[in-house]
Amino acid sequence: MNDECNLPVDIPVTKKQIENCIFSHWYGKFKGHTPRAEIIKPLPISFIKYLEQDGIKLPMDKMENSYYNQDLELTVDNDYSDWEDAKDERDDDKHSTDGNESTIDPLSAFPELHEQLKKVIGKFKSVMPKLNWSAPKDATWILPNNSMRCSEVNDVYLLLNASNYIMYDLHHAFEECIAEEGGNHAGSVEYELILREWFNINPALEFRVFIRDGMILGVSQRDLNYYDYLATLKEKLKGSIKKFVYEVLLPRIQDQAIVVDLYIPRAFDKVWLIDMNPFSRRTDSLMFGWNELHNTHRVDGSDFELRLMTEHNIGRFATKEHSEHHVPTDILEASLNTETLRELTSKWKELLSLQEDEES
Amino acid sequence: MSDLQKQELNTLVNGDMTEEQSIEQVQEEVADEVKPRKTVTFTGVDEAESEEERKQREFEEGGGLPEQPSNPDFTKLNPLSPEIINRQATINIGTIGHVAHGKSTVVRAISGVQTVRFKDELERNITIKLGYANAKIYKCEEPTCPEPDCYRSFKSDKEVFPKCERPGCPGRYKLVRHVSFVDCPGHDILMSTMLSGAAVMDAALLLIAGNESCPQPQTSEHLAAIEIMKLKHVIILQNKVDLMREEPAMEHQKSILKFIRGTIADGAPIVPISAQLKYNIDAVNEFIVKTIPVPPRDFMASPRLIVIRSFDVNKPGSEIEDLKGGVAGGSILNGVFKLSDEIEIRPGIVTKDEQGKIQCKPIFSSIVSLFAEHNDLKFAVPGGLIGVGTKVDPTLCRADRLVGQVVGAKGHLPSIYTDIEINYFLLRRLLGVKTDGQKQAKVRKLEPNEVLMVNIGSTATGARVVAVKADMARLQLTSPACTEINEKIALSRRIEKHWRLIGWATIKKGTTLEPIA
Repeated sequence: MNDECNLPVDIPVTKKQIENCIFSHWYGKFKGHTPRAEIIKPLPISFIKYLEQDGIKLPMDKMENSYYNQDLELTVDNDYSDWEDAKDERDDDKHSTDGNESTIDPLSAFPELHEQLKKVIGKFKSVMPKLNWSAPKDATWILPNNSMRCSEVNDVYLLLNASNYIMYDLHHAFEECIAEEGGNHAGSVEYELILREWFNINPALEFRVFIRDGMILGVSQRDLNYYDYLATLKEKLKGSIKKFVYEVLLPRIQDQAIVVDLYIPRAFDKVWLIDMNPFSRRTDSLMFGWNELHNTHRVDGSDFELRLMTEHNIGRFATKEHSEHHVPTDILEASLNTETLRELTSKWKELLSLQEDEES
Repeated sequence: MSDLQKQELNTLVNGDMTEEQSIEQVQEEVADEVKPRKTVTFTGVDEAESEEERKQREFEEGGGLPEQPSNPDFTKLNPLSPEIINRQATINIGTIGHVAHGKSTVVRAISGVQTVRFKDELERNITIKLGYANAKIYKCEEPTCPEPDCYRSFKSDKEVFPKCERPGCPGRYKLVRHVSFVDCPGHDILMSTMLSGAAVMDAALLLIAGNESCPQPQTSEHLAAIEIMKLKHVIILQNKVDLMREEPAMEHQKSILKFIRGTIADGAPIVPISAQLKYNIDAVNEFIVKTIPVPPRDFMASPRLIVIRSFDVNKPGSEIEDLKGGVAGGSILNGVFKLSDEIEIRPGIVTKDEQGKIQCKPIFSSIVSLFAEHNDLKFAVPGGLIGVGTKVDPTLCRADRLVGQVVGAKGHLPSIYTDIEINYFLLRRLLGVKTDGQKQAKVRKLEPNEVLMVNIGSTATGARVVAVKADMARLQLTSPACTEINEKIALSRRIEKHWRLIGWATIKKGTTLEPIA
């Protein structure tokens, strides 16, 4: 079809490989080499259900001074009238609403976990949450300042509930695995919640390292903006990465094919392990192609490439990162599937005319 | 290399080359300036000149990229002024069509820009991001140069007067348009068009594969997309004509004509092309110039930009005086941004006090650099995507932290709202013939205390339902937002592990936040 299309080569991944990337499976081996975090496991089943249920409900915890629990102030400015009667309407509704019988409330469903979360946040002041593999990067829009920084328990609930990446962990983590002896897919995985002490990471200094056969195939900068100073640091960074991978990382893990994310802040010699990802197509290959990585072969000790952006990345300005998750699925589908687009358009027009009728 | 005359013109100072000057005048001046060096230029140019040197020489001969004036009279400028289009795109064109029908190849053929970076398309998942690319469209000034061959397009950083590439033509090209292609419909564009009710694009290219029958199943849907995006000016490209004989190609064109009769695309020109072989791209350029009207833009309006990207380009540990500040990128909705303009970014930094009360501190700064693709600017107008270098504390710009914020002139930004009262309408059922959970298809009423997703303009935020009364509701925004009364917003609820559209609303009232200094 096109001059540049190659069929993607199959890069098989086993369930074991994916399990090896679960946070708690590697965190303990890298104390002092990875930022501080608390692992909370096992998680009560009601917590997973809470994340999966329709709608998002935050607990009305009277012990917390939360922004999300406050009543609106009626002021001259907003001109709101007192809607006491609205509350009655709501109570009446309670009996008639269909299918809303069992909303899970953290306060009654998993009070211990709720308290534990509060305690960890109190200890670290602010945290970045994640599940076994993924962080809710796609849901930062729901918090102020567009970041994953949570300073109260409700921030954590909001981020996790709003995230499609978290749902991926819960439902699709093993989707691409090849069949194995005695391997059965879901069910056996134990979910965990990680609260990592929040720190202001500089994404320019994050690198993704592709490793196979116990050797570095290549390294890509992780945040694909152009940072001109990285070129001058190239050799130093490569040296630090090499030293870390061969002396610290590989001796402590069994997997010889893995993709790791490293953070190398100034003075560029201390390397922090941020994350482990399976050597598989579902891991973003960033400035490499998976075909390319697949076809890269290194002999012992040979040099690897650290790939950096060499000019201002024009394409980056075209879209917001993770923006597919900033609109309802219906809109995303409509942009890809014209059938849905047609339906969306007609429904939209219908609503518009409804409103116009009302206003006229 | 027979034409020795051209070799004389090896340098050109980046002078003020105004549009009025004819090519001849320019050439004369240039010739004057370089005469003393003539002999040097002559020796062995043919052999010794590297590809890079040749490009550089041609770039300079063609007038390079003249600097923008520092303080132009914006009342006298329009989206076709050379001062602007020399360096920046001013017309946004959506490309609509099936990926397999060669959408990215078309954009590549016109712009000369590789739109898909690093990877082949098959490696990416379904949300292939074709991204966007700018293109300059030129017309040869030589009157004898025939249409459409006299039209030619190049990359955004091409010099302003390149030599005509038609064999034997002595003319030079004059820049007539600078356009920005955007992959459409695209979820972002779809959402903001539906909410604002106004077109985000100025025109559209609709791609139809010539080697498939018309109407193709998708084509009518693509017309629907054009309609929903309110695009009035459409050019239809009948692609892959290289794979057809003339007669069937004509037949196919007739069927397209018949098909678009009475639709929004009625009367649109149909251009047979082969994007792969770059056949008839000249004609596409000609139609872009002749049929797409120059969009009206008010350069005197207060400038406004919504941030799509933000990052920190500083080397860690830089001294304060060496700091470059943070960079924010996005599209300008209105007005003009100039170097050293005092700007404000809202809502700015959001903090919570002891009681959990929210506070906003808008960011005040000034503009230190502006760029469009690889071109530096002294001022930027609506069109394409613009990068803005600021003096903002770089750590605030890291990791896209400013995404969704509004940049404008100090003191001229919309209010920041923490809670809003809306008049809302819910869908009766979810869209689509939904998957397994049939019972979920019905949309439930809004419930007090549930948290929804609201899309306001091109940004998303969370909203807790505080009270509901008939078709009115009060929402507390989880993250304060810049908006205005009567703005339309979309409401979505988490259903079956996805955000699903449940309705829409109009903002009627709200509590604004007095920013803290």
